[in-house]
Amino acid sequence: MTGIPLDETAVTAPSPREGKPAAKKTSLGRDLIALTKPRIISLLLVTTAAPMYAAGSPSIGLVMLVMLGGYLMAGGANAVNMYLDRDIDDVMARTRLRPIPSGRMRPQQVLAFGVACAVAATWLLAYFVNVLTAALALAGFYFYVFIYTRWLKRSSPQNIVIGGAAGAFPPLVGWAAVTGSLDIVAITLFLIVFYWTPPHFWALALMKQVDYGRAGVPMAPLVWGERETMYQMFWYTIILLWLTVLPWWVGAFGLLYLASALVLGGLLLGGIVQMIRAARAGTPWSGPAWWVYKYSLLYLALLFVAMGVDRALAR
Amino acid sequence: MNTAVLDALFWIAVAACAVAQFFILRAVFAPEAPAPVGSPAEAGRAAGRLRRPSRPLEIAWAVLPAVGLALLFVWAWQLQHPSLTSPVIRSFTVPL
Repeated sequence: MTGIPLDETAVTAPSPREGKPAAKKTSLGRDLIALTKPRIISLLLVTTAAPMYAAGSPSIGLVMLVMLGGYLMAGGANAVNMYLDRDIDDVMARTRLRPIPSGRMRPQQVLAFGVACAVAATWLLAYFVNVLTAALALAGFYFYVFIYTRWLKRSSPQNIVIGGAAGAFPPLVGWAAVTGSLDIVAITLFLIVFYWTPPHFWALALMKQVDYGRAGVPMAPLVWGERETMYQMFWYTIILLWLTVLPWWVGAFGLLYLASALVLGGLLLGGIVQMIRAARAGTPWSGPAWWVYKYSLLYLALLFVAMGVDRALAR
Repeated sequence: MNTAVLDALFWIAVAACAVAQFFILRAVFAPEAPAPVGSPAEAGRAAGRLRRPSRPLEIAWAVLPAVGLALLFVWAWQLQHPSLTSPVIRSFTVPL
């Protein structure tokens, strides 16, 4: 389980070069926590915990163990990501105050911390939960570090699309922790997060083009252009909407979930249409783009909560 | 709910996803548009910071999720219509 492309959401402290206050002196403990990107991991934990309740009736102890293992694995991946991206973090305004570019931590320390977190998470999940859960979480870690950060992030506008797979591992982890196996519902949840990722991150990328251009990260708006990126967001959301219906169609969830999925998805699609309309009319589209970015976070959290609630009420 | 209605919904979903996937793939096959003058893309390309992505890889990355999506729909259909389903697919789980 990782924080995949979610590093892009790390709208951290403002840049000193933008005339905003410089970083405060922080303790080592605070820096170590910052390396794990706790705000970002909270969404990953929702997409881990909700499938656990959708898959069965886990004990609080099991949920806590999986949350801890998930946090360590995602936090470790985020720390290794900061190690690998230390050169561009110094170039991008929103990442310049992270522990490495600001000089508060040495790169080797960050790498060691990230690897230690991943090792601890693997042991915890394999020993106290099950091997499949540990393997899936570790697969997410490797996918994030090697496929996304190391390979695709700086070489392809599909970085977020394929890299999104790493962020889609948490539902598999949660499901496997309760059932010890994977089935069509688990795979559908994986694909829901996978197809949610591009519209979410491209909304941010549309607004941070200068940063990405400066850092040489070929995000979709820089390669395909703004308008095409917005259309792509629309098409990915169409697929996402129908994918969220599929678990109901196979009988995994009831009408409460279906209604939630349709309403939440409809709002997301509406936001994207509004952004496209603004762009086509030549009016500012950054307002709707921000809305899409922020709402998409809420969307995913509420969608997964709806799954858990739907199943809990059905029992 | 009526099976016929459910089946109709399924095929509407398949059609909608096929259309969306077509437009997603079309963007990958389309020639790269020149970056507008003064845009961050133009600045990045001029400074040599933005590398041109590998075309075959771009196509492969775009096709891969489409194949996954198609397989998921096939799996879902076969699960809901067991009489048409092979025992292998019906029993597909990843045992611990």
